[in-house]
Amino acid sequence: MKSFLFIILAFACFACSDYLDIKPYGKTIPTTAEEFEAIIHTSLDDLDYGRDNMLLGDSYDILMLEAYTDNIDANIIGQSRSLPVYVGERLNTIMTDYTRYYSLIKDVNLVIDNVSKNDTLNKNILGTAHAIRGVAYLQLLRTFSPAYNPEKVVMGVPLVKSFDIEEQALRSTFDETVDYIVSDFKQAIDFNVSFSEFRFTCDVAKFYLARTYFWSQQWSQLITLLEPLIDQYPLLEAAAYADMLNQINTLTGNTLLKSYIYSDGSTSVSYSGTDKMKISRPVSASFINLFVEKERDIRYALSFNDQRETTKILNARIRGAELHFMLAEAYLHSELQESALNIINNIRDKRIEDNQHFTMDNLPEVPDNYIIKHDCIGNELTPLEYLLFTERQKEFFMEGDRWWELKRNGSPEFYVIWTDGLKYTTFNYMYTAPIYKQDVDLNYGLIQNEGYEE
Amino acid sequence: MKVMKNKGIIIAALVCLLTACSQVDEEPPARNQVSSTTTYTMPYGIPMSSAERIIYEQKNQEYKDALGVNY
Repeated sequence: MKSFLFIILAFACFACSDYLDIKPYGKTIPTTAEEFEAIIHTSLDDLDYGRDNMLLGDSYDILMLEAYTDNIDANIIGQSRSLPVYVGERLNTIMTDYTRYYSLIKDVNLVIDNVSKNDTLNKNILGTAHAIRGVAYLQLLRTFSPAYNPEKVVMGVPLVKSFDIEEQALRSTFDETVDYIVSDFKQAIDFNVSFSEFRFTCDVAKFYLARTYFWSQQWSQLITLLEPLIDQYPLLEAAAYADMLNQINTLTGNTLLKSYIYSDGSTSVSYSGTDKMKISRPVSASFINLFVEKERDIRYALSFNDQRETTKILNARIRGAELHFMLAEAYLHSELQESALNIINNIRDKRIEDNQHFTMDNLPEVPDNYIIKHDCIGNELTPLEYLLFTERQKEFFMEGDRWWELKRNGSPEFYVIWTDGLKYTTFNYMYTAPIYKQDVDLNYGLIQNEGYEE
Repeated sequence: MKVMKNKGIIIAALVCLLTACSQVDEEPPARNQVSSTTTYTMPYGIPMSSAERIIYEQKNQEYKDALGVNY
């Protein structure tokens, strides 16, 4: 009887100790190189099959980003409500991405904390892990922090730097977040990922580093990085350009990274679903009118048809042309207007048949109804900036770029009038999504973005 | 009497065993004031003004003219 009592008491004292441990000690944490590699390949696999919703996104994510810009027109009556009327309808959904990004960062931190640099494979794993973490933080920054303002201290996002699921980090500043992202991409570049199956190669890391400098307005660093890089990614001639954009599953041309390299049953069904959704909302007249050269511009026929339906293939990708646009804007903000204009003219030469070069004396005036009124440093839009922005808008139509351009350049307020006769306004604060509400409620000191008070 | 005493200890031990883990769920959140909602309310549409109606109708007319549709 006594021994029975002792067993019961011992059981009562120790039985629950494991439940009280919050960290998943023991078997749940990977320990071998293969297990760490598997964490990375899970993310890469999602990207390849178009299941990724965080790093590049899938066709649905791209379409959603376009849906609430001025590229397509929610004012036209008779359309179905398959796309959000305005960004306000999506913000609570976007908010949940916050936890998904940190879940990915937690996994990648585990890899970075535990994989040694002792051989080429491990260096590829580590380089990819740093690049993935950098992309995740860059996406968090673009989504959940206001656009950079050199005259204000802008809030960044919480930085979780190592694997510790108990950590409740508070928000860093915008500059601290940028420094951390830059550090990640520089480390990724140093690891020099050479295995193509790891996708985040050295040049992909350089691309994202450039995007980080661009988003944080570090123009001189951007010029230093891009001047040698754009020679490796020259703009394509018309036929090759069209072929690149029309590919769903093949990485061609100067595309550095894309989703849907592979396709299975579920991803192809998902893809065809969004391909149908994209025609439910007409392309806006203001966008179509940007094509002054009409059919002479190859992007005209690639983007929409005469029924104002989007025809461009939906695909999440990063490609070389963006490097040229970023460099042009870096020149523009560095008092190198002629250099910026040269790049714009070069881009137009590749896209427009019999293109006539602009000079600083015959730039198009900024129309009163152009939605962007101020550039990223708060100055009134100049004709050269207008030319650059409209070329960029035409180039990256349906590639998820316009929303970020609107946010970066003044986050302008605009409205649409839906079929119900009501006016829905995209307010300035809505360009920055709310931090995940439950985290804000539970984590004292985690500051919510402006506009999302209860 | 001894049997009764042992029974008491066994019951006490079992109660301890069954309730030991309940503390995990009872730990209060840091601010102890968790909201019951998990989303934010976004502004709903408002009626358009007369000037906005004119622009709205122009956009739709332009669309109808461009496509030759009539509805």
